Amino acid sequence: MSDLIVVEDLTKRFGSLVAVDGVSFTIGEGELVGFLGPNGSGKTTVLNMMSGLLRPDAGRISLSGANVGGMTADRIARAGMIRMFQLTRIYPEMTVIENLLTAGFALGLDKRQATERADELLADLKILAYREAFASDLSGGQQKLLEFACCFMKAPKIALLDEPFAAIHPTMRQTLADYVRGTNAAGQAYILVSHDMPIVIDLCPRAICLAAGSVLADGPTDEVLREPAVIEAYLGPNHS
Amino acid sequence: MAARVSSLRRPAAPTSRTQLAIALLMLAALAPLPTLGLEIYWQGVVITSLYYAMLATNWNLLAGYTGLFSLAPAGFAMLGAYVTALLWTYAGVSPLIGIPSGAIVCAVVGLIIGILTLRLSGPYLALTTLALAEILRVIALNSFDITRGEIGLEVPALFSHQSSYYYMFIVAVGCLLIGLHWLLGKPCGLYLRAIRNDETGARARGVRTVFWKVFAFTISSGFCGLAGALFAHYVIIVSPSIGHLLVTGLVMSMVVLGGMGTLLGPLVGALLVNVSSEYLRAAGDYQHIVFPIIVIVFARFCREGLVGRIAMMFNARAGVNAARGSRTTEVLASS
Ligand SMILES: Nc1ncnc2c1ncn2[C@@H]1O[C@H](COP(=O)(O)OP(=O)(O)OP(=O)(O)O)[C@@H](O)[C@H]1O
Ligand SMILES: [Mg+2]
Repeated sequence: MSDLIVVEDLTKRFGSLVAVDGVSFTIGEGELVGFLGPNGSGKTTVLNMMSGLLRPDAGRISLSGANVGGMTADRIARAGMIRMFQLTRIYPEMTVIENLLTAGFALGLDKRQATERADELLADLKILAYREAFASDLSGGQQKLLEFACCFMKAPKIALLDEPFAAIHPTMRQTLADYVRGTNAAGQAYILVSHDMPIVIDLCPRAICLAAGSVLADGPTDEVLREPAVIEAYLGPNHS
Repeated sequence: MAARVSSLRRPAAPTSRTQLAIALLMLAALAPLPTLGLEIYWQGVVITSLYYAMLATNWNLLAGYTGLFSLAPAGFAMLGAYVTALLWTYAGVSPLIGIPSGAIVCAVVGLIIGILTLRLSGPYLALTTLALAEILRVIALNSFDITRGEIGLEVPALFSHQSSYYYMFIVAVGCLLIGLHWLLGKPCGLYLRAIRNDETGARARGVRTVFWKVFAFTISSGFCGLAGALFAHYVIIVSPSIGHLLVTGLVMSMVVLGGMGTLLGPLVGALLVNVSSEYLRAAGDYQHIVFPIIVIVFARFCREGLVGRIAMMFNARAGVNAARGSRTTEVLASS
């Protein structure tokens, strides 16, 4: 398997806090990797650096062999690494279809391609009825689905999803999980940050667990979850 | 499910054929007034309103659509006016070349300022444009040997009849609105609005945010310069007062009143504010108190402005109930 993403020694400090401390991992084409770790362990910060929104203090990130270190966020997105935010970032004063078209046009689709793709995604995610509604009028969960859909207007090389399942209704969660599973089977690579263990176990063959900014474990998901260090990080040192 | 649901207010339509049609109808309704006997004085009031409408439309492109807060619309108008005035005074250049030159110089200055400041988000643009507008005005005021300071530079008239200016400004505003409507219908319109809605989100999804912000600022600066240069040859005297910060404040109040981020709003706001300030002037110097109060009231209670509020009323009647209905079911299902 060739390496799609190579992250080496990634480090980020906020003042005296070392939020990400020498993180390294590689991700192959078509892999679906779960990102685990307690609150504040640095998962979002790693994603922020990978997507170009935050400048690493040290370390290298490459996508398909190209260094994306100094690139702007929009260029990284157009190069095929796209991310979804933990706190939803859609365009509230624009309609659902406008949200999707904006993403499609920015990634180089023409009007016909973008419209067709948007309708396809809305149908897949079962929010086609909201096509013309303003995004601010969607529920929180629906807004997440919309942001999710925006990431797939043009199939990225890899999608970085930050807590896509948090705070959404079980049926919608299932819709999302099905979409991730289906597209992954067709070769779509993912990093999936989630605190939802059953879903991670179900979807992700491999997991990386961060704690206090460092990689605690990296391997097949069931093995990672059996690691004593991971159990300790999640449940506290006195757990036996 | 709690996130963002609070904002149930329906945003106004940014542009639409209806808004453009209403704007063009308003201009068409104004057009025959001089032949129907509108006094010269009131023709002048309409001309000035249309000049302000051009500035307001361009400020709205930044603040209303792109979310950029510039304090230089009057500054750029003054720069455009001085370009054509200086070209005429010192090189005998015809206004036909001087006016487009004013627009181009302003666009270039806008481009440079944009490149320097729009990489950064935050208050940098507001501060830089404030400084620019004031520096330009002070230079114009104090370079007496070149600009004749407060006395100003005389420029030639374009027409011998007031009504010709009247028609010229009607055509100029019409073209500006048609052009803006066209632009907003392109992907560019979506990018600009996306930047205003969530710049970080837009960047993360591939929108060249810096490029489009610079683009919007360049266009807006250029057209403010054009408006100023046209206005210069109407008032025939170019002085630093064109660029006064109070003018920018007036332009902002027009946009807020008419409706930020709507195509029609700035025109409506400019006519309302400028025509009514004529009446206020008759009653004394109350305009400096009344308009700030109106702006504060609108900013607090009617943020979408007049046009926005009316558009919302129409939107609310159409097609929203479907979405509202299924939303209720979802809430019920999850509780
Ligand atoms: N912009 C910032 N400024 C200062 N500190 C920050 C900033 N962003 C993150 N941090 C800190 O960095 C650490 C890692 O935060 P991060 O958001 O990456 O955690 P996370 O693993 O995503 O947590 P969660 O599961 O709660 O989302 C935290 O201690 C956080 O307080
Ligand atoms: Mg996080």
